[in-house]
Amino acid sequence: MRYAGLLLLVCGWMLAPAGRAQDQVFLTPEEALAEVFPKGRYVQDDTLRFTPEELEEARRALRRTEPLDSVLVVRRVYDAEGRFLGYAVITEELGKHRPITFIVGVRPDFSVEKVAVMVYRESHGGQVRLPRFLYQYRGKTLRDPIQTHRDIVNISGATISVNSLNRGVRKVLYFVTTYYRKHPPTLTYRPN
Amino acid sequence: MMRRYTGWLLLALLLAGPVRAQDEGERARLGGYGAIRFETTNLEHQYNTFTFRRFVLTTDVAITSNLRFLSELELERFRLLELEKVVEAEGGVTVEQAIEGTDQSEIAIEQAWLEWAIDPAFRLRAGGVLVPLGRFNINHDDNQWMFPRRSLVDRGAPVLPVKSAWNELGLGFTGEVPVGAQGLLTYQLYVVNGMQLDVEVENKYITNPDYAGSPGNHVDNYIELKFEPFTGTFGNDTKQAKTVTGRVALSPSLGVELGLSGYYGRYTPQYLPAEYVGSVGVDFLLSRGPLALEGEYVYTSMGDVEAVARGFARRVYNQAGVAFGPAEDEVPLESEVEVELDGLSRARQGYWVEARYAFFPEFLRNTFFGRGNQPLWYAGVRWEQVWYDELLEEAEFAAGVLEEFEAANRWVNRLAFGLTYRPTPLVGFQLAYELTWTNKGHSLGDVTNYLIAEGDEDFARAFIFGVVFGF
Repeated sequence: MRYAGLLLLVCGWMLAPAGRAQDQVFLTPEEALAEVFPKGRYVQDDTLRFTPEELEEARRALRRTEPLDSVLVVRRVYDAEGRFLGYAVITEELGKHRPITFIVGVRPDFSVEKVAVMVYRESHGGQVRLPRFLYQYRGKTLRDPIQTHRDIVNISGATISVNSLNRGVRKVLYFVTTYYRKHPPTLTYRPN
Repeated sequence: MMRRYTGWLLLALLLAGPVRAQDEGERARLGGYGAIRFETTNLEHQYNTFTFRRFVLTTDVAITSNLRFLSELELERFRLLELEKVVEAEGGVTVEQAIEGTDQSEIAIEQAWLEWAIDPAFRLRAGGVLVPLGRFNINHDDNQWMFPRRSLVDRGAPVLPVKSAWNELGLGFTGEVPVGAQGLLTYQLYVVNGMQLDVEVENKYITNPDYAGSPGNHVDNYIELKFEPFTGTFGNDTKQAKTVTGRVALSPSLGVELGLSGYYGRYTPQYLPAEYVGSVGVDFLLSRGPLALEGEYVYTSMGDVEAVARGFARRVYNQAGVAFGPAEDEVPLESEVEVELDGLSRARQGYWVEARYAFFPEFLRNTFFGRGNQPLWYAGVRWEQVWYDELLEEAEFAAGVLEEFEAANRWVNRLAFGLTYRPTPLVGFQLAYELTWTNKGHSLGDVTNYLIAEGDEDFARAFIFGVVFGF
């Protein structure tokens, strides 16, 4: 008992989240939504659930070996007058060692409105959060390659992070486009 | 009660250990790049060969959020270096030393610096830094380029005062300043020890000098001391004056950049007359979608090279000396020492322009070429020219007087076609076809440092297959 306090103190120090200081949090979820849709006022959430067959079809279409989540939360955003602005998806893709969290805003015509990095956890390659890089995704659709050296300019020293964002943007475009083409959203929203 | 909780506390300690170790380890990133190639040419004495061109290990450490250390250790064509040393004491003392190694092996520090990011626009950097002359030297990783061989201007027939990858020891500042919504202004400015005239000692033993054209039956021991431009020291500088170098680049949007760079400093050691080397460079990048156009122009002046030769003659005094040693089996040993000045020209200039196109043929999509992480093909062409004004060919002196000084205007051109497949952006399989030529009737060996050409071999064809990787 006499030594329990000392042991607890040592454990507290050992378990202190010193490593968590590596996580660079640039945007909270609310800030991220405002970043991609500044005029957004009302939000309606859709939880999309995919069958194993749908996931396999997605992996083939995206030529992707990394795993896909079977659940995707899509936020439909409306302005103050209730007009539909687009879709917002917060997603993650694995960087070199740790995931990068970012938001993708998609317009009603299924082109990218804006991409913003929310949390960057690596110690290197963080230049992908800069507007001059993310601007490249604006207007992209599922028909575009969204591939380094084809239509996305690489950042030297951040190649893996660039690839991660490419994968994530294509993933969001795929799921949003394929689902909402079959299930068009309501174009106006009136809160009760 | 102590016994009841100790077990849980010990378990917590065990679990905490790996968590902290993982966080410490993430601050340091080990990376690198490398290149392996096979090449064949039409030159008589340059044989088909595989080459492990280089393997570079990079350590990039984020000491704190604004303190960073980066180093690059290069192993160029390196396989083996072995030293044996034996001291025997029987009667007197006998010391034996044997050095064994594979040809052209090289170990070098390419960079090693500490950076203190006071602000993104103002970062202090100290150590061995890449000289910011042109755009290739500061971005020379092999896996980032589609051609296996580095450019003439930067490496093969260097217009840069020292061939790439070129680093110097010093101190300076670097930074990035946003310009508008999309633009970025970057700069690097350093004071460094700078390039110097340094000596290479070459020891030759010729067992059949009659075959080599030397009359008489004797064994030759030939020592050549070649003074030529070399990268500056990491130890005590051989000159008082220091060198300034810098580059500023404007990028109005990602994929577009225009750079202006320079280098100026003394290169002669303190025991020779002061002469200065000055370089200016202009470089650019234009990329739109799959198409990219990139290039660089550099001009270098080395001042009055004949004055350097005269000062060298006065200082060295005698250029060559010969001694005959005792004979064994009636075969005497002839020892010769010769001093030579090399690699200087009054001025030199050159440029390279590279166009490349990224694509992926759909008929390959369902083959093994279509696997991997965002695979791509690249097709490209690179055109290069280098001119030497008054390239030093011969400087002969005796008794401290320069008796002969021969220089010639030379040029070399190279055209290369390339095709590269990247299964993932950091790895490439490269094919290249090169045509290189120089002044009619003159040797390519005089103006390049990688072609083994005889006296009249003024044209070379080369086919290269290369593998480059980065991690």
